[in-house]
Amino acid sequence: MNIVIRNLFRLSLAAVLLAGASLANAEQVVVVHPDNPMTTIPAKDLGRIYLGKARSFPEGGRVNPINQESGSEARNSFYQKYTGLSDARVKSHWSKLMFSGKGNPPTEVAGDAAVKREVASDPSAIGYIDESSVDDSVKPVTVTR
Amino acid sequence: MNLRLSVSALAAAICVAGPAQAAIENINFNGFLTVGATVSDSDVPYFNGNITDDVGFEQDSRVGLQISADINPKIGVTAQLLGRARDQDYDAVFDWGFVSYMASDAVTIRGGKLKFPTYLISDYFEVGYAYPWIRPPQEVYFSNPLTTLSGVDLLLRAPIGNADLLVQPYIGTSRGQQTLVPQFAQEVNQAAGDAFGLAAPGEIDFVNFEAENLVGINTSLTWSAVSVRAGALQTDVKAKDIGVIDADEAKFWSVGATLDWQNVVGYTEYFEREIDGLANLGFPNQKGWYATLGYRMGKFLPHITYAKLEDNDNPDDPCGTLGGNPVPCGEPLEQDSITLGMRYELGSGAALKFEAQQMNTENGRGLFTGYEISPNGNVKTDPDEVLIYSIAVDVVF
Repeated sequence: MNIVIRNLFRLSLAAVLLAGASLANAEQVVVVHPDNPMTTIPAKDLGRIYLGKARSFPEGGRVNPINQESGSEARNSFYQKYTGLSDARVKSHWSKLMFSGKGNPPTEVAGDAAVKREVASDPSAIGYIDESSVDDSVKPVTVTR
Repeated sequence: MNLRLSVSALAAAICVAGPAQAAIENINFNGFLTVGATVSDSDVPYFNGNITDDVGFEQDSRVGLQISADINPKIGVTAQLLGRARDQDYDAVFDWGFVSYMASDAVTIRGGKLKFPTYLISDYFEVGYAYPWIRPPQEVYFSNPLTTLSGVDLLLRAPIGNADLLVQPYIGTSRGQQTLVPQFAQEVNQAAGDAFGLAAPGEIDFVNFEAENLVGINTSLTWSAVSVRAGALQTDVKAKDIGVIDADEAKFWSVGATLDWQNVVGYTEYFEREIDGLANLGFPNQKGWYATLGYRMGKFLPHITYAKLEDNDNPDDPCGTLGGNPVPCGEPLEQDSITLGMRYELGSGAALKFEAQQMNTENGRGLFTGYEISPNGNVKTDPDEVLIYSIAVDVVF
């Protein structure tokens, strides 16, 4: 009995550690509409699109960026990675553009499922979701340096 | 509160218009709000008379609402309602609004009532959340009383190497109000045989003016950490209140730069203005500059600003005649100030700010626009040194 409990304990400990490890390794994937021929996007262009500095895909064609929810871990790490800016600085950046009438921030939706819905319904959309959420409704693209 | 009425009326109008205007997509409502309190150690009112030695909320408190809608992928409309505590209890005004046509990624044309692109942050001057200070340095930002322009502009964008270039030519007309230096206005009024019908002593005089044939250009070059801008404009000014019926020419130019590199934040700007003829009385030749340096430490951004407003070779008297009497030129305002400030991020979309500003006036007037009659009947001159403390919360939503 003792052995069973001890083994159960070890198992659950392992499960917790595994879950923790998979969270830490959770990879963000940039996705576009399946009809979009693009397969790669330079990191610099991605950052420019999400700061409103670029309004088109690098190869041309209007781009409609989709954002995760403000304050979400997904969004914070995305902006940190591709623009080097904290949440507060991104907010301040968009306040300047928006309240001078020079551009509106990307459409904001809550969670990977909602991002996929937006991207799947608009050939000009781009979004970012967790690797584990990728399915046929969207197409992953590789971010190049 | 009129704002609430206006907003609900507007919302109702949009709802009514909604079904008929099914083509409109992406209607965005956004807003900003600042609640600020100020107190100075001088009983002589500063600026537009809203900062005194009583704790007051009039100078900085304001609320704005922005509506933008895409008519189609190329055409959009954007408008902003603004209610300021200093304008009769938040009566909302239509601050600006325009229709824009994006011909391409590189070319946008806008028409309507546009925010005047005089300085680095003129575009979003009312949105306190978007800059570090509570009040952008007045020694510079006070110098162009034009805040909006009725007309047309072009936004021409091009990438140049690692930078983004913006060239913005504009043309139109404008109108506004400028406060007169009251002590000086009284002197001139007497010299001109009481021609101006000034307000009672202790009250603030505003000069209404019109700017016609207004043409100018605003350019900026933005890298990831550094941005530089330069602009110039020319206009014909009429101010009937001070007898300027034939337009006098005004010229204005300014340059500036911002830095946002790692944790270092910097802003600096310089301007010069020149006004000929009788209009010089209300708008003397001035020049000024400021520099701000800040260092971001987590949620805190402490910053320091030095700012200076000076005479820009104002011409010798007289600058014209009124009713046969010679009218002197305006008196340039001179002051400098040091401001210590702290901005603290209250989560995303809100900031708390403190500032202490030490002002020194060169000729005892500076930007102090009020004055009082002392018990013995003499006009109290403005103080040489004044301290102003301010606190504000800025929110965007």
